[in-house]
Amino acid sequence: MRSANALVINGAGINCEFETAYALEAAGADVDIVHVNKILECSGNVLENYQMLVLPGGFSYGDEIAAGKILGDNLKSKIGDYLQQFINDGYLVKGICNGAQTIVKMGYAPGSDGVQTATIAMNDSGRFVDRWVELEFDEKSPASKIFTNGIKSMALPIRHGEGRFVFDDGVYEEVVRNHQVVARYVDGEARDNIHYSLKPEGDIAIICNKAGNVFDAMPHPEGYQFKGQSPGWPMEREMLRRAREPIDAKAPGSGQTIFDNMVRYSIENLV
Amino acid sequence: MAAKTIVPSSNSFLPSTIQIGVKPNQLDPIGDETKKRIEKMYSLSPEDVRVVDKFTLDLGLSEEIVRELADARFVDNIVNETTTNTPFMSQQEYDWAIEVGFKPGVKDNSGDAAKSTIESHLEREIDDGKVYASRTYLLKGKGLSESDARRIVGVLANDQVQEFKIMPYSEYERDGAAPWLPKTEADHKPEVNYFDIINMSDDELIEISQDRSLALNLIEMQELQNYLQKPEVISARKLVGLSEEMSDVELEKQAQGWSEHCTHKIFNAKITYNDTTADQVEEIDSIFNTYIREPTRKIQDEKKWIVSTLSDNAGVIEFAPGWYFAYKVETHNSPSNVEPYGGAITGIVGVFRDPMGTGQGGKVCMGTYQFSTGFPDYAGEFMPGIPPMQLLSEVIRGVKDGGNKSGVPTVIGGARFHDGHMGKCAIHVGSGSTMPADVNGKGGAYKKAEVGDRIVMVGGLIGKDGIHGATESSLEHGGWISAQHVQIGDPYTQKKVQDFIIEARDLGLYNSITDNGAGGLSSSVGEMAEETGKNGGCVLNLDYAPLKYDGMDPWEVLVSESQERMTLAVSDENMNKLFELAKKHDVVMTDIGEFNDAGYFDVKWEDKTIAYLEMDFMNNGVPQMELEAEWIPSELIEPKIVNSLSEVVDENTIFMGDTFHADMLKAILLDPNVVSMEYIQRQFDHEVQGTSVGPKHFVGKDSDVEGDAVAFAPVLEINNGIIASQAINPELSEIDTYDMTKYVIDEAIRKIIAVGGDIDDIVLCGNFCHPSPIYDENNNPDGKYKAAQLVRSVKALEECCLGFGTADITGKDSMSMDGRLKDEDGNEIRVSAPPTLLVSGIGIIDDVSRCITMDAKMAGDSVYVLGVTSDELGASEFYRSFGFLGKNAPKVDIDTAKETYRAVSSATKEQLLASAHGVCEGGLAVALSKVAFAGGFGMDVDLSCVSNDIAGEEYVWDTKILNSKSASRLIVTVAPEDCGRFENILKERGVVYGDVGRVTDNNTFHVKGVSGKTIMNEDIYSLKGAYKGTFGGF
Repeated sequence: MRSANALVINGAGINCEFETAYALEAAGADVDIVHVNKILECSGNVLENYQMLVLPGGFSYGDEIAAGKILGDNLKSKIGDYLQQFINDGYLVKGICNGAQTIVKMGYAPGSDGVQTATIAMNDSGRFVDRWVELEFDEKSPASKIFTNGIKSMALPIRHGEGRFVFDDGVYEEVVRNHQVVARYVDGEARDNIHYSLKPEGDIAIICNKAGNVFDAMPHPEGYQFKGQSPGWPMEREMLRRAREPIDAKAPGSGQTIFDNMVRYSIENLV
Repeated sequence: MAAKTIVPSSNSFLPSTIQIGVKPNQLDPIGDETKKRIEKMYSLSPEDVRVVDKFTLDLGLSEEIVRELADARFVDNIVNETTTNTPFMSQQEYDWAIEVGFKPGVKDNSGDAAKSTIESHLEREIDDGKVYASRTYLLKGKGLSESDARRIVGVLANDQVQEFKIMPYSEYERDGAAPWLPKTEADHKPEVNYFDIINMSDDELIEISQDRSLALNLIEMQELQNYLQKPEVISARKLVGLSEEMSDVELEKQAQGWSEHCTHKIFNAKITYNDTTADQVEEIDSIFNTYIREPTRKIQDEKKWIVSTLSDNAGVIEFAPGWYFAYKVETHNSPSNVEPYGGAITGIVGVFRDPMGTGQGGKVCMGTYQFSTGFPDYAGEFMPGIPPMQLLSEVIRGVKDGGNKSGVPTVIGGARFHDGHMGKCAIHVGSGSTMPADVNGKGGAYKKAEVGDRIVMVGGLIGKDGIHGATESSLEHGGWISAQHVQIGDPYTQKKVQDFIIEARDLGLYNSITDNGAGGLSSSVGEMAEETGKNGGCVLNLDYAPLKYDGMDPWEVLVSESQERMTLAVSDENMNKLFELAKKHDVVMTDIGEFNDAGYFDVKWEDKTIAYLEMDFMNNGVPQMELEAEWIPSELIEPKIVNSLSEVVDENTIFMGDTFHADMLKAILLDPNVVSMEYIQRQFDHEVQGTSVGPKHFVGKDSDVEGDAVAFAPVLEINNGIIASQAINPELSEIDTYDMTKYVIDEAIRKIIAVGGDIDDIVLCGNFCHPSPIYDENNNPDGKYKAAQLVRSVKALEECCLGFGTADITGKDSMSMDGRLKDEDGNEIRVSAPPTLLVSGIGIIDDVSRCITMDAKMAGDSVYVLGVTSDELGASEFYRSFGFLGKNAPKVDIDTAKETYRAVSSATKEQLLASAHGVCEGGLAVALSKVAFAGGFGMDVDLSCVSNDIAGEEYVWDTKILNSKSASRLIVTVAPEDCGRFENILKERGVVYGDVGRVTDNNTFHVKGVSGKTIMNEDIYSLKGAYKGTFGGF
């Protein structure tokens, strides 16, 4: 069977590379975890043999100056041209949390021409928060052909201090028109306490570019690759127990679907 | 693509500044949060607070380039604006500006990151110069006076590490863009001083110990005299060019090595213990060897999965076939007491290095915390330097930054409040790592530096930070640097070190590893030098040590506790590969010497030997301390509970009417020591690494009720897991530390059992935070009592370890839980914390899928209470809410407890339980209600079915059953079809239990008293509201 290749960036304070790679491998991808310094010193096209580039969560460069800013600037200055081509050619780019912050700062989402039109700024509360949130997906989103096929809703963990999407004038309206808001928070507490509740964009969790191949998510889909990761697992487990069904905390969780979809898409369309 | 720029190569331009502020129409969350903090702390109401970040570039760059950098690398155009060399002006007029930045020499993470991004942009490294970060708060408010601004500085800056500047707005408009330059020129030429120790009088010995803050007593100083006079020492020194005088390098090295912190003199002391209640006097030669090491060895002999205990940086167990788990809990009390943010971040980042530097090196997979401070709402007469509320929030911020930025899930923890912690807080931080059982053919827990190995230091640079008592000496040096005991940890640098180490370990590039913690290189290299052979030894060359700045004396380089550093032993042939790897990970790596077996700790500087100490003397020569302990129990009173006002005869009576129970329960749920700490846990990333595949710290329908323990599977490929619990109860120490110790150990074990663990698969870590047990007529008149408290505590520890079969694999002691507070009149009093023992339990389980939580799962399930409820309300939340301590401390019967725990483990293995919960803080009333409201169910409870042996009149039974602190009890809920099998298991084991009620679907917590009357009928959400009320939701 054909396989698709994913490049997962690590180093410099990135910290979700292993579980992200694990989810991609479970979906059938061949994964290379490559240190950001190796990417920055690479003379040729580091993306040449890959169909997927994944920027995992973490605190790249300690989140100094602004989250994702230094990593974005460094990547753009060294591999910006290759990355632009990669996106133009329809290959997949996925940023999760700090990776998502990096991608918007590089200007590859919501527009994907390298001009920054949005940012992900500090939460209303000024605080970091780790909690699970309910998400509602737009089934008309261009990403739904690649990453979120058939997904209507899902709970995922958010773990960030800077998760508030802010757009340049007029950009939000265009993003909505194009269905580039992939998912919004429906959890009241998360929306009211964490994000910019006064504006309609306050509940945005995931966006994509117009073509749908750049996926920019503040929640962590790799944080729900196993059923047991969900806070709802103890209850789910109890229901399985009472139904005398097998109980496996490591059975695939809902978040795994997003990895399964992108790898399947890559194998079918990009290899 | 970045614009290519031609840059002048010399420092031809003056420092420039880049100001970054939020655009006028954008939200400023930091400003808003600061405003809230000011309102909370000082009852001031500023109208608006805005934040402007400044980077001062002392890099000799032209203004044009700085402008280009600001646009390219510093601004997030969507929400921010920048200015260069001119003040950042908001649209509004403000009243005050307060600029805060670091003192000279303090680690400036933002400034360092800014420099690196500038270098990336310019595509060249800049050796000369630095970037300094500072932040200006613009304050607007009618009537905000200068003295208000001065008070506000209290929440904006900590004068231990930061400096500030208060400006009226008009001054800010003029000078707001002035460079923030904490540097001053080094004017000190490094030198080595020698001391004629041999010929010093006793007074002179004490004087030099005090002057240099060596913390060595006269006997220890005399031991140095004796050492220097030995003929073989004199001749050996002569051969390397050293006289009989001792260098400051040697003196400082010995002071580090012999410090209480490093050698645990109190735990190894000879103690005369007089138990006046038994009329018995005992001589104990080292409570550590007697009560901790011996029982642990015995258990280790039987349990082969316990791999390494009480020797390496962390204890090691085999938690899954082929996989080890290393665990350690540390304290960081003194630094946190003066600089809570720095103390806590250095604490958590520091404790990560322990299991990272254990055996062949581990990947850190979890962090823990436990904060013990004064009550956050304290408003009494004593004035601590930092109010408890502020201390707590700063400590939380420290662990948040340290844990989150390290990419380590902070899985469990809590906060505990006691007036005794006003003088000194107890800040516990713990961590665990995983490592393969086999690393390139070596055991994962094995380490040995070989003769001829290079001494390699990796990670951060060495500065003056963390040099004990170096404040005075630095002032003598001209005040050019802020040499503080406190430091700011840098998780970013350390994360890179962690990634580097795991790769180096798997490639087999080093033979031994340890972290640089207390004592810095002097300790890490000194310890590793023991591994090489019979004699041990090393040659350490301080010329090569990488420094943050010039002007450090060699002794400072040797003992500096600058963070984020590991020491490795590396064979010659691996050096080049390791250098390559360090380059890839952007980690500083330096070859600073060689290990040998010559028997000496040999330190060289500028081609001379400046320290030459016998290894054996250096590491083992500390004279044994002698202590007196005398146990005279405190006079305690047990209050009497009455149910009519007419019976209130004296002040030792508690009036408890039949209708009071519900309000009492709500009052106890609001007790800061019972309430939900969810607001802390939510700020810590507890799910990174993808290993949180079992019960989390907060559980239930809305994930907002504290569970008993957390379970996680630290290796993605396997289902084997770790169950971690914590227990602490300083209030019980006020009655008897013996009872306290047994109680917290039982609790830590029980919490693991509740989640699905097995009594045979548990190890413990004990952290003793104890007031000084060294008797002093004036300073510490109850020192003998405190020493007796310590002895009673470790005796109970031994009893529990052997009785439960739970080895104490690692731990730590901190024997100075004393502080000085000022009262309103400025009089100083000494405040000692109660003995505060944190017991952390680690259980192993072969499949985390088996783990369960404490919340009720379905209406109709039966509710059981296992174990006996006794008249044991001593130190209960109930008594304390009336201002009583009581004297009936809960007793632990180990054999009975074990049968209960075995029964519960059998039941979880057979999948019979829907939920299980240990009865802890607040007693049965709190525990039962939590099971109900966590699940979002009601509950019917009949107190007459609770097994108890409470005597006396019937009307006190309800109160005592609901509020007793009796140990070893669990609440379980069981589906009706499983009750029969479950009860059979209980009967087989002879477990005393009561089928006390049912889970209901009516949202009501309904309790019938022993007489059959309804004594509580409360909405579960109103109870939950109380439980979450004190600190609010987050």
